[in-house]
Amino acid sequence: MKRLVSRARSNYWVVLVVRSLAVAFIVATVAFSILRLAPGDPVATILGDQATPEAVARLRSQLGLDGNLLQQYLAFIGGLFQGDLGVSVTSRVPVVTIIVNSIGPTLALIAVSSVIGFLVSVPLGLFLALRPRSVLTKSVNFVSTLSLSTPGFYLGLLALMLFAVALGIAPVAGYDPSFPGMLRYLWLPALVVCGQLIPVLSRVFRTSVQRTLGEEFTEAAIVRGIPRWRYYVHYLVRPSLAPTIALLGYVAGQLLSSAVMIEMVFGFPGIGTQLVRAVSTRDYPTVQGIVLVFGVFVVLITALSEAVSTRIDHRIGRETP
Amino acid sequence: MKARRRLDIEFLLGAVGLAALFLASFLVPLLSPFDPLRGESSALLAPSGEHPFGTDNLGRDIFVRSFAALQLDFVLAIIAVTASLVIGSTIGALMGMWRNSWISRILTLFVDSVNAFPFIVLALGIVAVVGPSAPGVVAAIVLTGWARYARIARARALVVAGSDFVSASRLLGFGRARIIRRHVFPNVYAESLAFALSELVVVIIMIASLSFLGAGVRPPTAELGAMISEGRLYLTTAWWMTVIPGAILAITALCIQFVAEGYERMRKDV
Amino acid sequence: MRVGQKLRWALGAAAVAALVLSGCSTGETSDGGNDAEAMDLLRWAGPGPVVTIDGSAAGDFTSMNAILLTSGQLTRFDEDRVPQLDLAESIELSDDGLSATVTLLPDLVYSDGTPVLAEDLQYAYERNISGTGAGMVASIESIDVVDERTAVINLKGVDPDLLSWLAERALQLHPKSLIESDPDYWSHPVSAGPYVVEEGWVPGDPTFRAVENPNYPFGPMAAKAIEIISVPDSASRILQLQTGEIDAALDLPLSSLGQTFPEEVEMFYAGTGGSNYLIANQKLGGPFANELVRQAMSLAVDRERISELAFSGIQPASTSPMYDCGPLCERNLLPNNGARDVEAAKALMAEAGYADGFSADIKVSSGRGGWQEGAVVVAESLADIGITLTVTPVDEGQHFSSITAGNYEMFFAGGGGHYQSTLSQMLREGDFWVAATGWTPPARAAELLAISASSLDVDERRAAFTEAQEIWMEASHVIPLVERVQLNGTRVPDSVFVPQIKNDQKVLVRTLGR
Repeated sequence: MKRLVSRARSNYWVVLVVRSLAVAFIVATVAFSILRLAPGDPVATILGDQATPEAVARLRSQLGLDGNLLQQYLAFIGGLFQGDLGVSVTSRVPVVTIIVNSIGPTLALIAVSSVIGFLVSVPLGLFLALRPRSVLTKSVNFVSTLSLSTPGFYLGLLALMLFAVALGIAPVAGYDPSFPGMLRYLWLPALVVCGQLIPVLSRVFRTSVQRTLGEEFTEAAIVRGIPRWRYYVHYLVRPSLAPTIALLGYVAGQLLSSAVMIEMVFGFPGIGTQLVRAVSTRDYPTVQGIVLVFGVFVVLITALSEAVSTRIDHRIGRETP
Repeated sequence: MKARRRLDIEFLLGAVGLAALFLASFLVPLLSPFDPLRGESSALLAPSGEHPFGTDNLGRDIFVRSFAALQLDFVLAIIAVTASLVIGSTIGALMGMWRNSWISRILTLFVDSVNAFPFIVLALGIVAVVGPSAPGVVAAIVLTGWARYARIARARALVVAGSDFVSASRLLGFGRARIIRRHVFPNVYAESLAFALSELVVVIIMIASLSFLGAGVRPPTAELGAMISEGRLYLTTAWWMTVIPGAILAITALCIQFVAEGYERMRKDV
Repeated sequence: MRVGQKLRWALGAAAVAALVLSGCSTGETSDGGNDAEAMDLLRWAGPGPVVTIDGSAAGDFTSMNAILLTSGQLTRFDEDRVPQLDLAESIELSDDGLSATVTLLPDLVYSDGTPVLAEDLQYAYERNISGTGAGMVASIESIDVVDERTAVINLKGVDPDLLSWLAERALQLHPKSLIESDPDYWSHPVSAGPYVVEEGWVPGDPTFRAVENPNYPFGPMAAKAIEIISVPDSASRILQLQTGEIDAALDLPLSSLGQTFPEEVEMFYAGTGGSNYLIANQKLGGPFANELVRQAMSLAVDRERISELAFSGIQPASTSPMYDCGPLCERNLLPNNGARDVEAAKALMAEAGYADGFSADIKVSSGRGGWQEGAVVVAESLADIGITLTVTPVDEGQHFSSITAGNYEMFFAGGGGHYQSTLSQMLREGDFWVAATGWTPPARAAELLAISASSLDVDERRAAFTEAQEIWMEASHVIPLVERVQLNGTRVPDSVFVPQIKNDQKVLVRTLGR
């Protein structure tokens, strides 16, 4: 038994999974407690001036809000193991359904932004690393910094004013779940998210390439006269990708945050919109569920990107986390 | 030689701009004839000589309001960053010193969890508890931000704790507390300070973001994010309500960013 | 004898009026454009998604409107909020007014061909007794099925508003057989109404689409399909309206009136059946429990100014305690017709023993457009009679819980709903506003409520409403400020779509078949 445990302890994957679960659990607990501490009663908010003592009691038990905090917490944790996140207090729709329905647009936005961001950042970072003194580099740097300093929602508003209202080439709000219809609604918000993403990613990649440039094996490749493209891809890009991918975990968290703002500006029915609505109406189960999903998502992405980057870059050995 | 000068220009630009904005944020509200909180002119006036930034839907002068808002943002951001820096670094340093105990492991897990949370999510929840207000916003930012400083501080503390002169000090019999105070903390804070400067931009944007979502400072307090949000309803009719406060926010953040990057470069050069 | 005959006359008159009115409106709309042709798709945006088609579970107006459009009903509101016969061929009241015999139109079927049966009406009633719409069926004792097309509604007491309740959500006709056999029925309900929910809709979806029901006896409709999209952010809704992405936007913030809209857009507003109120917590004693102080406050508030500064000037000042509810609610009952009288207010304060005034805390929800500004104006007005108020915003999630928990000194609040319910909430022991303010109603109030709820004589009801309001004014436990209004914008003529029925938040899509 002890040997099993110690073997498990040293196995990278097991530790990763266990750690992720632990973090997810803490996230869930924090999510649960935060909103309960908030003053305000969802039952009173739903019933409004239709609140008779009987109606309140009935609704409270229907929503599982009677019983003390500990009972509710245990019910919540128990439900988690069954994949049940409870039912929305305002609409009676299961939280899982709400999340499943609303996460699609958000994921699509993040996916499209990530793809575009990545496709632009890699060549851009390469260029910045190889031509550090050109005028173009300086201007790109300036635009980069400007983009980072501009709050995402402001950039989104400007983009909206220009492309949607003035030029009319993008919709003002809404979403189409079908493909390729969704692209029509996605391209502008994705561009705005990229405005925050590309400056960060390209710089990290540039730094990484600069480091790789200084390594022995790249100098050796130049001396040996490796053809240009092979040089770029195999000797520069691949090894330098690792830190960039590892950064994805951190970036994923940022993306989710900015998703909330962007969704509001573009009237995008994603999970961020649901979250803001749920917080203001004290829809505890929905907030808990969404916060949990966010936390787990970020943890997973971090773990995944760590794993991928260790695979890609043979220079980085396996560490015990 | 040429490289050095280029860096200085950027840093200089940022520093001058920041100083000007900082000064303006205190002088403009003092010297302007208009009240940032009460509407005294006609609503939705376009920018003009009398109202360089126009008026909003309640007849308030946007020029004085923007700089009053900037003042608030500066104050809140500095408080929030300082608090995060102190709290986070302290906890992180302690974690680094006592690295092998189970307390440290649990704290590490906790720090990872806090970092895993997307800021907005946690902040919305916190604001729901304490209510939208200036202290609430600061609390939300500090509670979500301290973990980042803790991580840095812990990493530094680990390095320092393993370093030779600390081992030497231990051997010589100096107490742990004294070692921490004299060697660990100064080392840790230096690196964290650089990070804090770049975080200032992020925090200012966070404050604006929360207010934009309606979870920040309450009306009629002037705050740049809130002003942008209020202006959204009039996007096509009175663009200045939205565009101008946002521009001021972006320019301020840009200046801070230049200063932070310049400082980082200069620190590394030396 | 007289009661039954009166109701039949009333129904007949209403039917004739409806015929005449519909004749007039179709005549009017023969000016340019495709009036005989229906629109292909009518899209409008509201503040939330359609959450359910089940009347017993619905709580928000978007869902209620979707329910009304995609379900069969015995009666249906016209644009003046007068209930008209819809799927009921006749509704005959018994002589004692305690039962109504409903006969459905012949050969009625749902959108999928299932026949509409009288048992579906009985089933709807049973499902809604304990649902969110219980108040709509509260006057019904039971429903008996006579045959496939006929049912008898047995009432607990005479209910002059029966036809109105039948037009609200709660007694929608859905096939009992299908509901019982399919646990997932409400995700793909059939319809006996003008539209049927499109396949693939999921409750809570931001887009709700419904297509015309060919089996609806009064079709074709002025729009072949409708789409309700959820755009919670009002700024986005306004933009969509301006760019033409949607045909109508509901429930816009009143401040958007300051905007310029393209010519095709018509902005209009109507009452929602409710008012903003000022309340004081009598359980705290002191000035709050003093009737004269409250009457003084009612005289001192500047209602016009509240409307002007907080509500873009379009929420009319209250001139009576009850909002405008048609023939039953007499206007201009408040002293001085609701206009400000600072001198009289000061005199009352002195008489009450509070010549030097007092200070208090006034709470208000921070999440409702204009309410905070309204509270600020109230504070300014009352400062003139010596009352110093500090405005304390609470966020929306705490709004109702603060009121019900008595956790306030004064509150800038609001309410609304069916006029009968509103009156009850104001005057019945234990009902919402009575409990919230800690007032004790006199016995006469209960008597008046009974008369207003059960008399079929319009004049008698009106007199009861008026006297009830006089008791309310005397107590001034709930001080009416301004009447609430919903602002909507539309790009289509009202020959197709009416975004808000008078004094109600229900929408109306015109039918070309009547």
